[in-house]
Amino acid sequence: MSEPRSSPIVMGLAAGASLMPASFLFALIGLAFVLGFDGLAYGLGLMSGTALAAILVTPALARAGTASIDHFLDARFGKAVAVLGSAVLVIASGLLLLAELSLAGLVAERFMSVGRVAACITVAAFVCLLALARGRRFDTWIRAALYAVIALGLLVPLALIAADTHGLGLAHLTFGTALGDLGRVETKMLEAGTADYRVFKPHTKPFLALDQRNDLALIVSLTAGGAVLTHVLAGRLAAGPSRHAARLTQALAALFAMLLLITVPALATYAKLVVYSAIANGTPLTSLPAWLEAPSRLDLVRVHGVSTRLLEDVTSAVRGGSVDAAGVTSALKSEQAATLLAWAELKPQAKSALIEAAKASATASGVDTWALLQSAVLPAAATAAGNKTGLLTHGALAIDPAAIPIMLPLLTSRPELVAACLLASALAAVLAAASALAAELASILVRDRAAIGQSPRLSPRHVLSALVVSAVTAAAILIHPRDVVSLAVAAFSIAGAGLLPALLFGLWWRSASRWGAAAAIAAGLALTLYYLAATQVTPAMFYEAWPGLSNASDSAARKFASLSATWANAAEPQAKAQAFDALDAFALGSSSRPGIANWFGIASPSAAVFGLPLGLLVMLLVSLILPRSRQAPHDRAG
Amino acid sequence: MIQIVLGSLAVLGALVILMGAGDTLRLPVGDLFPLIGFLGTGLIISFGALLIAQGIYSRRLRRPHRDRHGVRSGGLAFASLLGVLFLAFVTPLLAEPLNLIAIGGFPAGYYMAAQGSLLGLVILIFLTVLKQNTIDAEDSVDE
Repeated sequence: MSEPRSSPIVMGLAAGASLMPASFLFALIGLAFVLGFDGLAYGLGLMSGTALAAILVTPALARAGTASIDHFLDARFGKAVAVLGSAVLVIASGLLLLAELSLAGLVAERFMSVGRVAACITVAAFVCLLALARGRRFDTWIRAALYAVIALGLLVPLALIAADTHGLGLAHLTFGTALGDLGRVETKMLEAGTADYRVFKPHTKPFLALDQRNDLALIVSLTAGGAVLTHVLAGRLAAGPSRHAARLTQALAALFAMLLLITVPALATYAKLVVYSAIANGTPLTSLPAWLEAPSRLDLVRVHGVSTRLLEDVTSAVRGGSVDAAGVTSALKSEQAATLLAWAELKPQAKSALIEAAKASATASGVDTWALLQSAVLPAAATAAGNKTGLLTHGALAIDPAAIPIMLPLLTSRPELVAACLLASALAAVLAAASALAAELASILVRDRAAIGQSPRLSPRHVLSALVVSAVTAAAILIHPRDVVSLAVAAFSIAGAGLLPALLFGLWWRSASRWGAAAAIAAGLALTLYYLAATQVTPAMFYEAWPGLSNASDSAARKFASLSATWANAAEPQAKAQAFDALDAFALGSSSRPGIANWFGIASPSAAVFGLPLGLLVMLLVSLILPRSRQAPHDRAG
Repeated sequence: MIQIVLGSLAVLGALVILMGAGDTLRLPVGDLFPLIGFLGTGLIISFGALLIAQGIYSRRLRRPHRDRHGVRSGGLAFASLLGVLFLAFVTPLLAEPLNLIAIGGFPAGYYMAAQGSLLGLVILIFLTVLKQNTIDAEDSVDE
């Protein structure tokens, strides 16, 4: 070792900081709030992936005397397999890096009203610096400090919101009481009629938002991906000075990551208790709580289908000369695709109320659109939706998971402090994970075989990590993905389905051959990429190719057939293109209606649930048919 | 050897019960199936599979083996893998019945997914690490 090592605890803290990608950790707050029990699958999957890595992968990698996954594949199966495996790692970690940087942009945009592009570039610069420092002794200390920021940034809001509602106490243990209170508030809402028992989803009841099959598919994908990506995210853990130290560091890193993960459901439960209490206690639609204002301005929360953002967009359409609903539709179509969907779903009365309010605010200056929305638009929207009480109901409130971190500060007694904590926590998590990803990506690309920390002061790795970060930042700015969680899950799916079969069999089965490994990587990666891409990009074609495997109901299948007939019968090219778009949109589905382009109803990001078994099977069969020759030069490892 | 025989018997018995329930076999055991159900049959099969695995493991250990340390490490990894699979995959599927029980105010199914399984996984990692250290020391594998 060229540099002295820190103690296992500091190294565990440093690794724990980057073990949970920010795109999960930060989104988990919203998912555990909105999806209830089903949102917990994300945390569980991540943790079991870490456990699988600690039990099956790290010790065996260390035993084989290799520092990283691509190094191991090279030593065990030869160069060709190593190149294939590196390609999988590069795709997966590149996607994850994209998710991390996009999250940084979104967080900065929503929390600080800083431009997304500027925020992305600033964060990317810091990521570069940290990636360059990777492997130095002070790098470990910086990462340990980042862990402290992430943990405090989650623990302080939890302690505050728990103290507000239930007094002082260790919130991780006492949030059982909050769950009980939440259950009582839910019953109260149902009894008072402010929640509809036909669609209401109790917080702790499983499989309402995700069915059992999707819940399991998500956990399987995250477990498989986590088992592989742990080595990318947490650095080359197996490269410790001794096996004992490497194992201990990994166990401690898992412990610290677990402490972060179990904080999130508690935070979400307390937040949900405050929100539901407001509904249960009867909040008039004309004086909505202040915590709805910020997410409503971002169109992340809609009350009876309308938001402040929608009002503002309609106002600018009215300023542009639109006078009626049809004019606003065409104006929105060219300007704002996101709010166009919300607009299209509104009832006519709500639309005319919005246009009247927009006319009032378009002529005057300095109008408070949030107040205008409550006084002028919401009563009409509520009447149109059949809400005669004039009170905020559970059904009226549509919350996007991304709204929860923005709402959370105002749910507590110290909004500024909580907002600062959450922001610091999210940015620290992005920095830790993104810099680790960038450094590892660069090492894979230059085929750096040394343990990180042994490489010279300035090497191609350093130059390349800067290039990687710049390229991915540009992609994050240009593509601007909003659903960072699905992106991150897809990255885990690719890594898991592509590499886990070759890695596990290579580490634990003597007869695994290079042909088997190459075939398993290719098959797992191909099937996963196909399912990910085809169900999203060409959903109609995907459904037509596999109608028997889809979970489409009879009525959905008939609807698809009739849309398909419309497309086939359309004469003009323009009408044909329009009909095909409608067909694609129907097959893809939307947030309110499930799509039909799927196998057995499995959501597209969890594609590893198909790729992983195929990879394992191919690895087994091909290795049996084309066994490893005993004289192979790569016979030392395994 | 005895474990392998007993385990195979358990798996066979469960399969017979399943076939009886599916009317593939005209046997009176079909009536047993509603009593045991899918969950019970699954439990019997996994119990049998565990017994077989344990039997194979101890047989391999008893044989004069060149790589005793490798066999023991593999056995440990396999046992831990079963633990991970149980905590991560089985407990969430059992959430509905578990939720009927309460642990300190928590519905148990929710508690397991939010904290319990995660805690269990970390404990499992530490136990595996400790056991592996013991195995290394006993087989005097030098660092």
